[in-house]
Amino acid sequence: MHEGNSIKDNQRKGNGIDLEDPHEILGISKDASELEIEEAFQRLMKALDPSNPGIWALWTPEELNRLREKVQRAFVRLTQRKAFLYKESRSLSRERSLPKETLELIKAKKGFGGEALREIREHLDLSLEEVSSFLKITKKTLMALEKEDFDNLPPWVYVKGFLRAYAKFLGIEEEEELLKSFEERYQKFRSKT
Amino acid sequence: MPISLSVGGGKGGTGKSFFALNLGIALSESGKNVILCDLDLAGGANLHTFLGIPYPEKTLEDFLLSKSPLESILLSTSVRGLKLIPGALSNLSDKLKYFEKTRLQRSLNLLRTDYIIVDLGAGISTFILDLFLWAQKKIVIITPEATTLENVYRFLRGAYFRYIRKGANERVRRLIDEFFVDHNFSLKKPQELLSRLRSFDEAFVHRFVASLKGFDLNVVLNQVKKPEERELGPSFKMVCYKYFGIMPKYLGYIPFDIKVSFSINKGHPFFMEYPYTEVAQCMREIASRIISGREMALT
Repeated sequence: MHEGNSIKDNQRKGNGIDLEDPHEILGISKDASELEIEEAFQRLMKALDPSNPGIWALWTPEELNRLREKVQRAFVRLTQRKAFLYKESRSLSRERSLPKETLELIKAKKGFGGEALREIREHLDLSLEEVSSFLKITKKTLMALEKEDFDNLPPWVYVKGFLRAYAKFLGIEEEEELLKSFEERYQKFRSKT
Repeated sequence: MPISLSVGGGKGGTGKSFFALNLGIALSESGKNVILCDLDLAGGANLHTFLGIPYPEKTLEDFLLSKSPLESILLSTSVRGLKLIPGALSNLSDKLKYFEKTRLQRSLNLLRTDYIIVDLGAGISTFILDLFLWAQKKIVIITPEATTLENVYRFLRGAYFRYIRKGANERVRRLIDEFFVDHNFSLKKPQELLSRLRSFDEAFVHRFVASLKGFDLNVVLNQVKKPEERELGPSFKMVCYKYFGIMPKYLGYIPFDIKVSFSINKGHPFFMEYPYTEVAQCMREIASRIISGREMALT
């Protein structure tokens, strides 16, 4: 018998099947068509909705949200339909957008700027790569935004557009507030140099 | 050996008996020999009433308590090809011993027929769960009501844990029992149990998970009042897959029809009284899916 599985491998396998495999997550075969993938995805999202009658006998709403996010990621991995993901994850992040208190806390601690963006992104469990591929903003620019590394940022008109898109994507409603606070520091830096 | 079907689902009033009976008729209509077995042992047996037999002479009680052979209580019905084993009319569920359960299962397996349909009573006693698991094809009846779905999910949870326990050796069985002792039973998930067992007996979990692929679970959505409620069938399927790792077959839906209760009160099987209704047509389609092993197309 083959015993070469590493512990990590085994941990990832939940049902003796690879839990991270997007096909397994969606419950479809490896050769499923694009339509089948789409249907399975829609059906699962509906099935795992906390409002689905009786489902509370099996999962809590928080558990359901985590399951749905996993399904969503699997779907994106299979279809690479980023435009769709952009829309979906915006509604998703709105759904799970940070509680007001957490947001206030982040703002109080870090000011409303790049640091806060990073923190919110991490709270929502999104990687820079993911954000970059939805927003079509390079990873380098995103990092510069989060670090407020003004040297590596383009003129303000562009930065403004990036910030708006990023804030929307993270489900931040106080877009204007963010822009204002960010611009202050940006212009100060520019006037010095 | 006959093909055995069990019809269960936890809650009363969801249409288990109605379904079992009319499935039996639909199967016999397509030329199969069918034995219908009323296994509501908590005193709620009434399949005979559906067939217009108010006082069956012999019932399952005679088999279980007086040791009559199962064949001797087989009752012919007004439906050609369909025979009935009438259920016990008093509550036997507390009196039954383990060997009586196995004797019943053995005798059922020896019957000469094409299909045996076992109609289970309400509740999630181990007796009911074991008979549900005993059949090759396990059918649960759901309705669009939240309370039904909740009950069916709990019923399946019970069946799942019973199933894993049955296949386990003494040591693993102890681990399973321990798993349920320390916390709230109703919050325990199959995944958690599996990951705990995995560190003790990886091979067992592996075998068990592999066996789930062959777990022949089927679902029928009954009492559909609005077209959008049909969504619940596919949705139930996905929930089962995500929670248990079992993908059930969706056999189809049956619309709500007030004539069903009329037919019960008259003591005429619905299928005979109203053979050209949508309900009867849906039942026929479900029967043909059971024969062919296919499922209802989802879209």
